[in-house]
Amino acid sequence: MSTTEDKTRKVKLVTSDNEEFEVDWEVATRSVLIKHMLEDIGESEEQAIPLPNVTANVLKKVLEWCEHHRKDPEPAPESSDDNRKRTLEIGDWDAKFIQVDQEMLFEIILAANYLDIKALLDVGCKTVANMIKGKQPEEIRKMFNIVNDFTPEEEAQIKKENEWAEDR
Amino acid sequence: MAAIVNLVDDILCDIFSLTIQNTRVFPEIFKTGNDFRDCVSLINISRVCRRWREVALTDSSLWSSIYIHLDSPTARTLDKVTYFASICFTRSKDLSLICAISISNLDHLRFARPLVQTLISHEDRWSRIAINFTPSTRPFGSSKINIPESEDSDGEQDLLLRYAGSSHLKEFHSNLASWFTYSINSPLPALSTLRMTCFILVGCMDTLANLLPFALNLQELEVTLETTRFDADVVERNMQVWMAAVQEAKVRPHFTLPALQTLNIHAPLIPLFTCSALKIYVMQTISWRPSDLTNYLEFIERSGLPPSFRTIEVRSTTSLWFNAPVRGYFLPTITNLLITSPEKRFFTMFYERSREDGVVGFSVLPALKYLEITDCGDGHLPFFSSLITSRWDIGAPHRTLKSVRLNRCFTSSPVPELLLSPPSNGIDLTRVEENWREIARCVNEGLSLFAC
Repeated sequence: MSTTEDKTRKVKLVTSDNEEFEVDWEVATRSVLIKHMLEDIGESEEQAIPLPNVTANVLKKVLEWCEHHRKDPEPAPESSDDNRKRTLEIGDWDAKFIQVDQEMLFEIILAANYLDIKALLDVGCKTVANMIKGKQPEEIRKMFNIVNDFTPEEEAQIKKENEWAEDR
Repeated sequence: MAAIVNLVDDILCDIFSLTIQNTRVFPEIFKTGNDFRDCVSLINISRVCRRWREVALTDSSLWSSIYIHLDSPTARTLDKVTYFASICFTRSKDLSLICAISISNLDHLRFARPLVQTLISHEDRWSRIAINFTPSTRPFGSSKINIPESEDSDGEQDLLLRYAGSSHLKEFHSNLASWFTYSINSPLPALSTLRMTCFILVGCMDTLANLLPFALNLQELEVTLETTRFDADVVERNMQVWMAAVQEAKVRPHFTLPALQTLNIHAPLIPLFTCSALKIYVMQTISWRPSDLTNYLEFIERSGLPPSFRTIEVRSTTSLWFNAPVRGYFLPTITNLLITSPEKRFFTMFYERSREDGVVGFSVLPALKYLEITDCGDGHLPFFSSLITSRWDIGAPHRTLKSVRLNRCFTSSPVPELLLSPPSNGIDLTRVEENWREIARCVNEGLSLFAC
């Protein structure tokens, strides 16, 4: 639970390329990693939090998301009910935010995973899932520059497994 | 430079899972017509490269939910689907299975038997299972239907259920419940929903007698009877089993279902039930037989006049409806009514007023609070309007109606938006077309109206 004092507190973050960001505690603690690190170092306002896996241009983008979502409630714990399915829907602001080039998209996903920002990671994963959905393997390879490394024998086996879906 | 190859397996798996889960909500998939895009997506993902395939194959949860929808499949296609289903089940390892198979325009049940047998071979892991097969309209014996020699019925195994998911099973839906035979000996404590369509009463009784004693936590039961072209195949196969069970049973079974909240049962079966926690009683249509009404009233009494029983649903009305002892079904304690395709006389019956000891009320459902109407034709709008205003204008303290929901009603003269989202200062009635004006007045005075 955050206190009024926490909300006015500033937090210093240092990126892998040595750029320093000073942000509100409420914004920084959208990241569970940063929140835990702040709990570890206690009240020391001067101590900067090193983020060796995030560059400045990516952190800037991540903080933009955190700023917009600073008042969001804590994400609910995952449900064990297998009947409740996630959808691919993304909110309007998030959809606009994530309209970036592929390199930045994957940087954001990696940073969200490292910083433990589940909601941002979810936006990134849904974006990629939307890109994949409905595409043929060759189209997916082309889109993400993936090499087809199956041997002809493997290709034949996979084709056999799935041929029902092709001629239905 | 970041690329998709930099993502760790867990994230890649999450993306795959999202890709295949957009339209998978059980069992609504039968209504939404998923058309197996998810299966195809999963297949395409596993064909991109070795790493993607390895990641997809390692995550057994991706393979534990399969949804197969086919229209007019050939026997060859069904063979291939069976092969694919078998692969999915193997890859799902020991996870609980969610499986919905919907096949329409099926030429012969025999073609689908291997697929169902494959599903049964993993029955100990069933969690949510739905099977819905409908026959093709092609004449039986058409030259296009070639039943392979190897599929001759003499060599076929029974579709015998021994576990039906045991402690995993939560939902079971089948429009071919009599296709299966049963030898279940362990409880089904998680089974909450059972929806079945059977062909003939003796098959239906056998299914119930084999499942219900093990399903004490059942909350929803739907048992309907329907005759299709598949009857002959199933009846011929299972009649001996059913008759043997009837001869073996010394007394008629009785099913006490203490947790059951929603019951939709073929009318002649109602004497077999006691449901003290009943909330909703559903009728496909109201039976015209006086004995069925008597059985219904005895059922309610036997169940202890369940205090939670406040809702009745009628799924279709026919001209026979009004020759039947209809009113008796609508007990005065019922407050919620859901009805599909109501006819004119439905409306008139519900706005008919009574006067007892000088007090004005309604003859049928005097305590009605919530009314939900589905598929109501345009010609009935004046009757609907009369019903609502009659119920509303009775005034306090006798007014009970609070909200009305319309589903797919009055397509030529749909509910004006103003009535669905009334402004805070009230609806300007002069802006509402005449046939909705009286209802708009009720909305202004506090009636909640919803439509979709």
